[in-house]
Amino acid sequence: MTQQMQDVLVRCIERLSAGDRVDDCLRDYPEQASELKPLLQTTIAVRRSCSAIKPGVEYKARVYDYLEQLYCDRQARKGWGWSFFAWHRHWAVAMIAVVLVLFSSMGMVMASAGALPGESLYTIKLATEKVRLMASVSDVHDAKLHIQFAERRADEIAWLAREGKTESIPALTDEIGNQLNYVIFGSRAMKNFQGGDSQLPSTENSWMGSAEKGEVTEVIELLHQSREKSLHELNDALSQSSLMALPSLEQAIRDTSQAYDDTLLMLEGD
Amino acid sequence: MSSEKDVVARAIKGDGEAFTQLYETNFDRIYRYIYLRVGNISEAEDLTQEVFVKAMGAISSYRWRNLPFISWLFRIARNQVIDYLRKRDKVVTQELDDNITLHAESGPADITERKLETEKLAGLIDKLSPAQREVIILRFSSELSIAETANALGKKQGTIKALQYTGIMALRNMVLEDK
Repeated sequence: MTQQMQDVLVRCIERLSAGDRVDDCLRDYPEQASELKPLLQTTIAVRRSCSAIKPGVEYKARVYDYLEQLYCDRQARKGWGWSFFAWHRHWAVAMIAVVLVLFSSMGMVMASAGALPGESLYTIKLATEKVRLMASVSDVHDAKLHIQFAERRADEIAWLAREGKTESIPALTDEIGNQLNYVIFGSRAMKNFQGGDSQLPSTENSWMGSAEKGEVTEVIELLHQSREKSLHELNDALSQSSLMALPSLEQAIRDTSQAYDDTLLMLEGD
Repeated sequence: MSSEKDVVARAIKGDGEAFTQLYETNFDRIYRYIYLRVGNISEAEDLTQEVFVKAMGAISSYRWRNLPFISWLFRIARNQVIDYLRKRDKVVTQELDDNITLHAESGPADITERKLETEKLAGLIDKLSPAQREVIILRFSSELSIAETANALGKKQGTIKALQYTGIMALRNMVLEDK
């Protein structure tokens, strides 16, 4: 009975939004009319009061100006940064590939595995990851690598938070989101999308479409484990970080958790 | 006229005009939600601005999932509000600001009446359970549908219907007790 009443209430509220009157609804639901009437009257009163709340015009314009300024600054930075880093990335990958061949993947690459943002070997660590992706033989393997790299970024955030170095944390958190996007769509699809006029990637054209069921299950399982490990590491850092680092770390935990959940939702289906 | 999906796709690619369109469409509803949650106009202004700054920063990683764009904004807004309330030690004093902006076309008597209504409403909404409060605000202040509210809060639609029902009942009873 209560559930039926809840459904009737939902339908009547929709009708009120469309311009119907309370009496019209009551006429159509005579059995519920006595209970329905006060609820609809309350709904109308709440809506009327809510509609009186509006942001001031000057304030809204101020925020708009601020966002516009921010947008221009970012575009200016991005314009320079993108072309610079694109060049830098290509050369870094090429150089590291040469180094890998020459030194048989030893020494520096191994030393860079534990490198952290701000350290000189960190660039090599990132480039090595790209080389590993280039050498990957399948989309499923790509996905597994991206999960591993997302986990690495979480470890790096935890370390930085413990050290009180919060500057790179938002960028690393974004990178976790990017890596997890790549888990679904593959880095190539995402790059094509960002770089050109192509359609938004969708789960229909992700690697999952052609993968074996067992492979998808394996990636999902890996993702669950990675989520647990990453969030454990980040939460562990909470108790060891300075007060100043807490807001950045808490935000990173929320965003990371959300990114994993979103990815799992898409992989597992609604 | 472009669909929201097209506008969002352009904004993801860095089109400032598209982002402005999303800002214009959604700003008031986000502001209203935050205002009713924090009950203070200057905090609501700061938090609303922060929501759009964050949205601008994160839009490149946004993925379209056949849900209105505002659902995503509400998630950001909700996190902002939770952070804010946590920092305020969960002591929420719903004192409405004197500078609350009402409809420009309202006359002085109408404004006073509306302001009283709004103050009363915020006071009553504050007495609801946290879950009822969020549903009532999202449904009637921010004008989200049942499905959108469910998505924004990460709950099932049946739960939202139940919370809406009990929330309205509770408000009704409070109004009656008040008389």
